[in-house]
Amino acid sequence: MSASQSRPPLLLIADDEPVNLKLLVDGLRDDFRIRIATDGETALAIAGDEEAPDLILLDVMMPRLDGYEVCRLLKQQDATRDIPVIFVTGVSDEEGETHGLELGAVDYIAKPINLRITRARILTHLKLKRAQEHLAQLSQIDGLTEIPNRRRFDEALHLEWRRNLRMGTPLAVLMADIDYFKQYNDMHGHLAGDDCLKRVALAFAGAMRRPTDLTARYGGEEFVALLADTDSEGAWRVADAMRRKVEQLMIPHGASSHPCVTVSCGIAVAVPSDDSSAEDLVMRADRKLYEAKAAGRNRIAA
Amino acid sequence: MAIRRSRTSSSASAFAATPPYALPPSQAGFDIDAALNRLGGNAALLIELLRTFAIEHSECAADVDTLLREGRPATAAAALHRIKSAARIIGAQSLAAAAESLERDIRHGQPVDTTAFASGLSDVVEIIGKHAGSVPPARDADRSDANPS
Repeated sequence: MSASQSRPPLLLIADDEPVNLKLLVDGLRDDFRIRIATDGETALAIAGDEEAPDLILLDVMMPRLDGYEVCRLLKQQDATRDIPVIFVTGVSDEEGETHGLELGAVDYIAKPINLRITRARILTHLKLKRAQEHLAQLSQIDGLTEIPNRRRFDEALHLEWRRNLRMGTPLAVLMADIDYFKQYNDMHGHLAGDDCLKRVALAFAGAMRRPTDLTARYGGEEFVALLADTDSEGAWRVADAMRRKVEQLMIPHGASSHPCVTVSCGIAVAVPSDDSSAEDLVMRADRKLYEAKAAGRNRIAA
Repeated sequence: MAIRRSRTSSSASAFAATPPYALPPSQAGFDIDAALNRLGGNAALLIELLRTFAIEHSECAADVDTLLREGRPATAAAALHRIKSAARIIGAQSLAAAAESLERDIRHGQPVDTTAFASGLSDVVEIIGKHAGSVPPARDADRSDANPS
C-alpha cells in the first residue's frame, strides 16, 4: 500500500481551473487527504513522490502537458503505473473517452460532476485497487509457511540476475531441504509436518541478513534463498546459519539418523554472464543439495 | 499582456461563505437548483464556487478580446474552455454555451464576436455579486500544493 492503513487515502487532483479545483477539494476533503496540481509536470512530480497518491483525478485540458500525456507517462513508470487514474473532464466526446481509457485510466467522469457520484466512483476504484494489491501479495506468498513462494523467487531471481549482470557482481542461490521429511510426516503425522515446515521457514527467514536477501518455499519440503552481490564465502555463512537455526529448533524427529529435524543445503554462486542462465544456477544449487544429502545430510555442499 | 490565471489561493478555504450570503434563484440559463443538486445540496460550497467563479473569470471576456487582438487564439480558446467548465459547475448554462460556441469558432478559425459572451458573463457576475456578496480582493498564493498531506 502506498498509504498508511490508518490514514485516509491520498488523492492527487490535477486541474488548472480554480472552480473545478475548489469543488473537488472542498467536496472531497472530509473523506480523503488531498494534494493538488495545476499543471501536468507538477502532477507527475507529486505522483512520483515517496508517498504516491492512491488515486489521481486528472483533467484533460491543462497547460503544456495535457492530461492524456500525463496519463501515458504515469503508465510508463513502474512507480506510478498502478495508481488508478480517473479523467475528470469537460472534453466529453466518445473519442476522448476512448482515448483516455485506452491509455490506462480506470474511469472517465464528464463535467459538470456530481459530487456524490464522483465520491462513490473514487471509493469503488480504491476498493478495487486494495483488492488487487491484496491479491498480488497473496499470489507471491506461500499459503502454509507465509514466506515468499516459488513465483516470487523466480521473479526475484531473474531481476537479480539482470542486475548482477550489469554490476558484474556474484549472485548466490542456496537450495535447502528438510532431511527425512517424508519419514517425519509418516511418523508424526501431516499436521506436525505442516508445523515443522512453518518453523523451518521462519528459521530460514531469520537467517537472512540484508533486506535484499530472499528466502522462499520452493515446493514440498524444499526451500531456496537468493543472495545478491554475495560470494561463496558469504553464501556459506548464510547457509550455515540456516542449517544451525533449524538444528537449534530441536524439533524431535523419530525417524532420522539425527534426533532432531535437520536440513541439507546446496550452494551455487556465479557472476552472471551472457553465456550462462539463472536456471543453470538453480540447477547447480540443486545438484549440490543432492551431494550434501549423499554425504550424510545435515550439511552443506558448495 | 499577462492573462490572470488565478486570483485566489487554491487553499480549500481561501474564504468561507457565511450569512447573509445566499444562493441566487434559478432563472433562465442559470440553473442553480441543478448545480446545488450535483453538490448534494451543499449550499455553502455552491456559494463559495459562485464567488470563486466571479473572482477568477469576471474579466475573461476582456482577456479573450486582448488575446485575439494579440494573435493568440489558442490561449484564448483555452481560457474559454476553462470558463465553460466552471460555468457548467455553477449552473450558468447559457454562459457555458456561449463560451463553448466561441471556443469552437476560434479553434476552427472562424470569425468571432465576443459580444454575446461578454454580455452573458457580465450578467452572471452581477447576479453572483447581488446574492452571494461582493467578492474579496485577489490573493496571491502558491497554488501547486495548497493542501499538502
